[in-house]
Amino acid sequence: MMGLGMMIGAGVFLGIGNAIYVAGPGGVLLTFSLNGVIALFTALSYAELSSAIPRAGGAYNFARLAFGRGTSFTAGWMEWFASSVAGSLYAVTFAIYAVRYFQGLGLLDWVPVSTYLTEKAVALLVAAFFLYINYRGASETGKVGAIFTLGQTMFLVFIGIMGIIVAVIDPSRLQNLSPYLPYGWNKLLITMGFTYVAFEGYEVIAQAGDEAIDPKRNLPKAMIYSVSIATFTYVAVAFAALIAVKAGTPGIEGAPWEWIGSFRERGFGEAVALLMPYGNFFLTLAVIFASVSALNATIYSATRASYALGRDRMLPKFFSFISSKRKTPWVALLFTGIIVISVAVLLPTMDVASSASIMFLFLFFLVNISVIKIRWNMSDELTYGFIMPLFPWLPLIAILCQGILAVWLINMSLIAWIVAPLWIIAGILIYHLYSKSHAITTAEEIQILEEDQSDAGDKFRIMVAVANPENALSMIRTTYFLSEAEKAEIQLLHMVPVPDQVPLTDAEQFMMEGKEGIMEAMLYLIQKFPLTTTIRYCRNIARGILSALKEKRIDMLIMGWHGRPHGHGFRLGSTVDVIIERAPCQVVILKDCGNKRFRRILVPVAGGPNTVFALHVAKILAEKDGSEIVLFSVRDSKSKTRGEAAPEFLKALKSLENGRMTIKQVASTNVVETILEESRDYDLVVLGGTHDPLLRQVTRDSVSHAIAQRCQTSLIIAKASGGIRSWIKRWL
Amino acid sequence: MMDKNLIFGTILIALSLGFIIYLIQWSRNTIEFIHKNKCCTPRRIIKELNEKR
Repeated sequence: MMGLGMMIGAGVFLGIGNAIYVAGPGGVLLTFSLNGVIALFTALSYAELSSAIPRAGGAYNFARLAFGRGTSFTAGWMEWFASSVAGSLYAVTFAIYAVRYFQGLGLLDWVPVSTYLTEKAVALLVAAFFLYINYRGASETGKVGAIFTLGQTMFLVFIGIMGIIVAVIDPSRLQNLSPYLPYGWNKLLITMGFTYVAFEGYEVIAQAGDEAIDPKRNLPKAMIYSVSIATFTYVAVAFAALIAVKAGTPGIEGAPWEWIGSFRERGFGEAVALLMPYGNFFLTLAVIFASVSALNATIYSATRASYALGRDRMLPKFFSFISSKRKTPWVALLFTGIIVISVAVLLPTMDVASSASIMFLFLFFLVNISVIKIRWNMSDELTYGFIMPLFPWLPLIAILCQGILAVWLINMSLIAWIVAPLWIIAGILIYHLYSKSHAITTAEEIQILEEDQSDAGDKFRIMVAVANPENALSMIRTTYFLSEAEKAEIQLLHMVPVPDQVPLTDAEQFMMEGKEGIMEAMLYLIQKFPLTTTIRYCRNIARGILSALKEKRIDMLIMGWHGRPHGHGFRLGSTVDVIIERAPCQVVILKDCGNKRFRRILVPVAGGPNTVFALHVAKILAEKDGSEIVLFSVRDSKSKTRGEAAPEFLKALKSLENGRMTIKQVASTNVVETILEESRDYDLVVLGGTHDPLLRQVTRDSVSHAIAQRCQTSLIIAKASGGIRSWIKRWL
Repeated sequence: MMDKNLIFGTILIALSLGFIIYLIQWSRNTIEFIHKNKCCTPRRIIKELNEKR
């Protein structure tokens, strides 16, 4: 009810007349239908996120989890503005329809100023009134709010039904739909843009997440139902407005749609007045109900957004001041009121609507990106009550459509495209100049059990994933040599895997073994290298590690592998496979490397960046132990390409050669067996990870995987950083 | 001759509204399924939905 109450506010009452004016009769019907679909895609994103993160805050919380504090500030900042401006719009709607009604009754003839100024004055008064109501804390709640919302929805549904009945009784009125799109399809983009504000109610539902009963189930339902009901209602009501006017009626100039459109934001009211007896009266009543409940809800929502920023010290502390008498956040309310009144009074109506729409479009854009990021990076750590279908296509389509609509709005309101970006830029500046240094940590940010803060600056960063003390010890030597060679800072990471049945809040009971492992590693490394430690909980170790790699901007990951393929469908293991495929940095996987000295190191070569990196790793180890390195190239006598290193590649390798490196080439029908046979005479094999495309890996094992699975010698799998792909992985 | 835009527009509206109805139904069923089977992470939900099919 709350979301529906917010939605059916002003967007439809002001939007129908303007949409008909801009896009024609078919345009208004298509506007609300297509907007409904795009809004539903975003509602599904909200539904999924709200079910997984049912805390108060909406987009502010989602952005924080997905991107961190900076982006969450931007989300809260945009939400504050968007809700405030939406409040202005509802105040203006109330004013327009109230003034229109009373002018019709002749009660405003004494007013010495123009209708426009009268409307602005009424908008100011009604906004001030509801700001005062919010200050007093006597807000529209519970049953009263639900009754208002039910009343306005039922009235609109009634209008829609009346339209259908009239069309059935007098089918000639269907001619009003012609020409369907008199100005073409491209005008739809404009009308969809400025009417999008009619679909923004689900942000309010998400904001009140902690107040819902069984939120994981009810929040998604509320969002999806409210968007759907609103869409059907809007289409029906728009149809009724078009059908309401009979062509040829005295006093009506031109085609009915042109006549309705000529009134712009009042057009809907003029049409409904002709549709039924006392239409004017009932419509005004419906608008008053709708505007009142929506205005109250948006002031509440906007105040809450700025209060949350003040509470978290992202805005000055006084934004979180609560009135001792009224127990309401009066400073946040005051500043919200300034925005609401300024916009309502100073800007023309369509600029108000466009400003609200564009800011909501930006906000929903951010939410759609957040749902993708959270699903990909940390879904195993959250409990979902709903997941959307066709992921990630629906949020991607929503992002694309919202981007297009936002850009096209420039044709409707240049002011909106000046005000909105200025507001966002102001927010970014405030964040960097103030919020970043003043913000406080909140309970919602705990995902980490223990962490040292570090500032590696430009140093090379190596992360070592530690499972337990034995695993830690087996990686010390290699880690030491690689860190020394790269002059690195080391970050020791332990992921605590928490079973599904156990709440994440109980993760501490599982972390002792990992903590001991980290302590063990620290003993050997801390004397020589700058070192920090992190212990985090997760449902899935691979995802947890990937998350940490991206967050800490790691250059190289070192981890151990027990050597036995583990997990159905995985080649090396459920963790190692994922890490090799998706890590955005260099990866060094150690098998049975322990505390050994390697006299002879075998490096199978087949060309490619991974082999070069493997050789780089082998060289570092060889320098320490005085080892001999043999580059082993096998020419597959059956295939001209598989297994063979190109001559140019070998030439390049030769340039890295030192006195202790030799190249050995053989021909064989079985590359894997030949390499395995050769490896028996060596202490260590350093293998480049596969760079076969994924599809090819599905149909057959790569040479690297096949060797790794069967190699009996100590083994290192080395995978180079992926270049541009790594950069994209860092941001997604 | 009927306005072509009218035909395309009507079909588009019908498809949009039909798609909305489909998504509502799908969403309702998914919410109830998750609630009933007490699955939690997307992987498990998708796995159990596929098993159900």
